[in-house]
Amino acid sequence: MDDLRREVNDAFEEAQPDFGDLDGVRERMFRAALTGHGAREGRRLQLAAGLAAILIAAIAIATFAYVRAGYRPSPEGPPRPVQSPTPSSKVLDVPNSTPVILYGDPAKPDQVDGMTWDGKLSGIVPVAPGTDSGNPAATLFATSSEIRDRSGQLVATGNYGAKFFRGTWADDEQQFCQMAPFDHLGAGGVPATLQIVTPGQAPRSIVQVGRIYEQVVTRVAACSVLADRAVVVQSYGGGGEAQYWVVQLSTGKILWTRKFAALHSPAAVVASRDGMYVAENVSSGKLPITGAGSTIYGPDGKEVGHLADWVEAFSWDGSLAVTDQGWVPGKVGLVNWRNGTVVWSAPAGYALQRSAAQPEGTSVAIWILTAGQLSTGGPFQADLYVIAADGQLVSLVRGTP
Amino acid sequence: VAQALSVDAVHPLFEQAVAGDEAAFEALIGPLVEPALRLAQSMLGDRWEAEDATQEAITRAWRKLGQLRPGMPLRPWFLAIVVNQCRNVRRTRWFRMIRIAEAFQAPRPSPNAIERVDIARALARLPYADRQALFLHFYLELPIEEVALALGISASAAKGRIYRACHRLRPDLVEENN
Repeated sequence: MDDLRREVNDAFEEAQPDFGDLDGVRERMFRAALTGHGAREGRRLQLAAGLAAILIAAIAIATFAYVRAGYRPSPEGPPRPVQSPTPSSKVLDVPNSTPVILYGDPAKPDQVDGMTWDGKLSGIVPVAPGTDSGNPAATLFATSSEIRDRSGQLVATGNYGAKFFRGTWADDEQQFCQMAPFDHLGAGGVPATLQIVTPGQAPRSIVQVGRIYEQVVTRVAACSVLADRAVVVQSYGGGGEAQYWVVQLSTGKILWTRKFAALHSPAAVVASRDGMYVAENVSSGKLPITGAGSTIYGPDGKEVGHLADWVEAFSWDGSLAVTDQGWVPGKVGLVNWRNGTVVWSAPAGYALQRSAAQPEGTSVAIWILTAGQLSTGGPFQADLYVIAADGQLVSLVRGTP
Repeated sequence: VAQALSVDAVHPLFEQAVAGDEAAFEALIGPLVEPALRLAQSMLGDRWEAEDATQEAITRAWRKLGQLRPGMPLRPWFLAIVVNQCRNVRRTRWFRMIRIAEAFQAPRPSPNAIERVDIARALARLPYADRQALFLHFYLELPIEEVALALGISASAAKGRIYRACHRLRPDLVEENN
C-alpha cells in the first residue's frame, strides 16, 4: 500500500502546476474575497474577458483542414486522410437566418469560421463574444445582459443571468427557458421557477419546480416550444442528479418526474431537444471501469431503451444518440438507440469534446480529441465530424495534430 | 496547517472571525489556501479556474463562517466548500463544452518515467468520485473522517471509495505491465 501511495502521490504531484508565489496568490485572493463586490466583480470581469479570449482561441485553434468527401467510414475504420489545410479567407456568405456550425481556424487564432450543415459553404463568421451561448442554429448569441444576431446587431437587452447567460435556448431559435432566481446564497434554498423568455419582453413564469440552493445546480436540460415541453434537472450538492421534471410549457403541468436517493442517483441526465426522451447516465462503480450505462425514458416516462455507454446528446429528432464512456477517453459513437445500431464510430481512443444537432435536420456535429491531446492540456484541438443520420461523413474539419 | 487542523467552531480566532475580524479569518483560512488550490486544480485541471474557484470558496467561507457547527473542524468544512464550488464550475455549460477529461491530466511521458505514466493513466481511468477521495486521503493526507466531511458522504462511503480506487489501480498496473 505504501508503494502505491507513493506512486499515486507522485502522479498527483506531476499533474499539479507551478502556482508560483503562493504567498502572493493567497494575499490576492483574500484581498479580493474580503473587499466585497468591487473586487469580486473585477475578478469576474477578468474571468469573463479571459473566457471570451479563451473561447475565441479555442474555436480558432481547433481546426485545420476542411474536407468534403462522399465516403462512408466503417464504424471501426479510420477517417480518410484529409486534404491540405485551407484556412478561410472570406466571410461566410449566407443569410443571418441560415443555421451554421461554428468552428475555428488555426491559421488565424482570433478567427471564427462557420459552415453550413450540408458542408457546402464555409467562411469567416464575425461573431461577437458570447459564441458559446448561441441558439441551436447559431443565429442569436446571448450574454448575461444582451442578445445579438450573427452579424453583431443588438437584438435585445435584459437580465439574462448573474454572471453569464443562464438560459437554455428553445427549438424555435427565438425564445429561451431559464430558472429563477439565478442564484441563492442563503441557507436552505428557495423555490425555483421555470420561466420562458422572449427577448425584449418580461420573463413568463411557467411553474414552480425544484429549488435553487447555493451549492446545488437546478438547470433546464431541454426547452421545446415546438413540442410544448421542458425538462428541468436538479442535482445533489454532493454530485449526481437528485430529480428531474418533464413539464408542459403551455400549462405548467408536470407530465412526469423521477426522483433519486443520493446513493442511487444517476451521474448525469440528458434530454433530447424536444424533451420527449430523457437519458439517465449511470456509473456502474464496478469493473470494468468503463462500464457505465444509460437508460432512456420516453414521452410518458416509460423506459424505452438502454445502452451500455453513456448518452451525451441526441440528434434533433431524438432518434440518434451521441455516446461515449463517461468522462474519460473511450469510444465515441453515434447510435440508433432504439435498435443499438452504431451509425458511426470515432477512431479508437478519442474523447468527446462536445456535439451539436442540426436544427430541424438529422445530421450531428461531433468534436473529438485524442487522449494525448487531453493529457497535454490541449482541450481545444478537436477534430470536427459532421455525420448524416445514415452514417455518411458530411464534413471533416481536422484539428491540430 | 497544524493550526487549521485543530481549529473548530469554539476556537478564539474563530469567534473573532465570526465577529468580522478579517485578520483572524485570514489566520484561520490562510493555511488552507494551498491545499484548497491543489484540490481545485485536481478537479478542474486548470490553474486559473482553480484560483477562481478557491477565491470564490474563500468568499463563501467568509459569508458562512457563522454557520459552522460547534465541534466541526475547519479544514474539511472549508474544503467541502471548495469541492462544491468546483462541482458547480464543472457543471457549467462552458466547462462541459471545453471539457478537460476528468480534469486530471496525466504527465507527459519521459524515458525514465514509464512507471509514473502507468499510474497516471490508471488514475485517469478511475471514476471521478473515487479519484477525488484518493486525492484528499493520499495527497492532502486527510484522515478518512475529514475526507467524508469534505465530500459530504459517510466515513464508510469515503473508505469504500478509497478502497475501491486502490483495488482498481492494481489490476490496471498489472495490465499495463503485461
